[in-house]
Amino acid sequence: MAGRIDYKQKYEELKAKFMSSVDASWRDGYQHGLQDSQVEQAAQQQEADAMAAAQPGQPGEEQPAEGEQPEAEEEAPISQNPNGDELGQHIEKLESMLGKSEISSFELQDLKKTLNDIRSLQVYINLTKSRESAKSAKMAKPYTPIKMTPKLQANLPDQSKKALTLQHEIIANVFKKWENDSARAASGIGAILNSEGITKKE
Amino acid sequence: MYGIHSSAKEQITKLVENLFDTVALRFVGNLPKLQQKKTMLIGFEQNVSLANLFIQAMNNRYPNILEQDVLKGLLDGAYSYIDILKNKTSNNITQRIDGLAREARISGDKIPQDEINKILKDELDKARSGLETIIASEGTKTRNLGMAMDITRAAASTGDKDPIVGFAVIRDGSTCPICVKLCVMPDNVTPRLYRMSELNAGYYKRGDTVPSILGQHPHCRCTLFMVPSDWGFDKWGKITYIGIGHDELAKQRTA
Repeated sequence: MAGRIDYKQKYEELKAKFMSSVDASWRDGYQHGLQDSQVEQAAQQQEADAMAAAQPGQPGEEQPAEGEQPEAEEEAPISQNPNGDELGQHIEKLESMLGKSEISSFELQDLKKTLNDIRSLQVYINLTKSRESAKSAKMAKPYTPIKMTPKLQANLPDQSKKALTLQHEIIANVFKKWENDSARAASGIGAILNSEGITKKE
Repeated sequence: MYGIHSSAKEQITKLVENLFDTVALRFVGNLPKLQQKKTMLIGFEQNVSLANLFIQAMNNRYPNILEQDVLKGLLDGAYSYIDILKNKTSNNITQRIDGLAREARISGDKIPQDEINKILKDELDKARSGLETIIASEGTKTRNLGMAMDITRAAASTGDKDPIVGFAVIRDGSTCPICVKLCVMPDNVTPRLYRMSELNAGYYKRGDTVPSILGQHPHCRCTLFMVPSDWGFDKWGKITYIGIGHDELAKQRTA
């Protein structure tokens, strides 16, 4: 029927969205958690594994920056729901209700309430995960040239110290100007497309 | 059904090319291939490039014919990688915009500006990531090769054709475990030594049991240094004179 709402489909969409959201939050928390000190200790024991998962130094490939864990160590975890019991109850209830062909107004209200519960639970889980992530996450730092302290420069010949500093200066210089240059190129491309008359402003 | 006009494609390609050629000029220097593009850099802009890095790593000595040839190869190689990325990015941008334009024309609509911006951001971010890899790895390669050339020349002057070398590892808490494993002894202090001929001369591959002269990965800060005969390490892992006849490499391998 044209005017009838397909609750089953809506439920499926909502469920899929919810699960992907929980998965993303969990994975995010997991990856940040990898950088935590506990994982670093465990990583020392698994040094051999890290060796196998290390990236080769080939240009043109995506490479992790020094100090980052190799990609293979950050395998996407299996979907997990930390609050599975409570959530499972809600889902079971929804499924049993949606299994029925007819939904009464009372059941519809109950369904709405259950969905609201799931939403609030989702918000709660996301907030918890974000808080956990924020605790363990290291802030991304802009690229800065290395500062040579006496401890760092042990065994480094003088020309190496200068060369290493110079290398960092070169990289920093290129990327400092890249931001402006790429923005200029992007606006140039936008202007070309505008002159073609194929873009519209929203 | 057509998307964007070929003239627009050419203009977009030229803009992207100029963007990458400017980076190449800054990073690689004034290569013959970039002669026509050098006006893109402002005349008074001080530019320090890979060539300067190579010369600095060689202790600011004038390179001989062989070293000049090595440097030329390094610069050409670095430019080739940037050139490949340039073509890929330029092609991706034009193809994706062309596809959108085609769809828009079929449906009789126009492309929302947001979608164009999204494509540009996506492609330029990918390009930046690729550039960072290229620039970091080629920089490391140039620096280490310059050092290797300098060590080889210094060793040859004393009649040593295969000098003993180690890698000075920057220990600042973000050192990668592979560098530590390959370049430091199990005591976690003393640098691990190798003959120059034992080192891998190509890019480091996963599972390699010896470090590469070119560095282990793009952001590698490990730096080659030579250990002359009679020299070794103190208890803090700092190179020091031990005594006549001391062979640190043999000591490490028999331990």
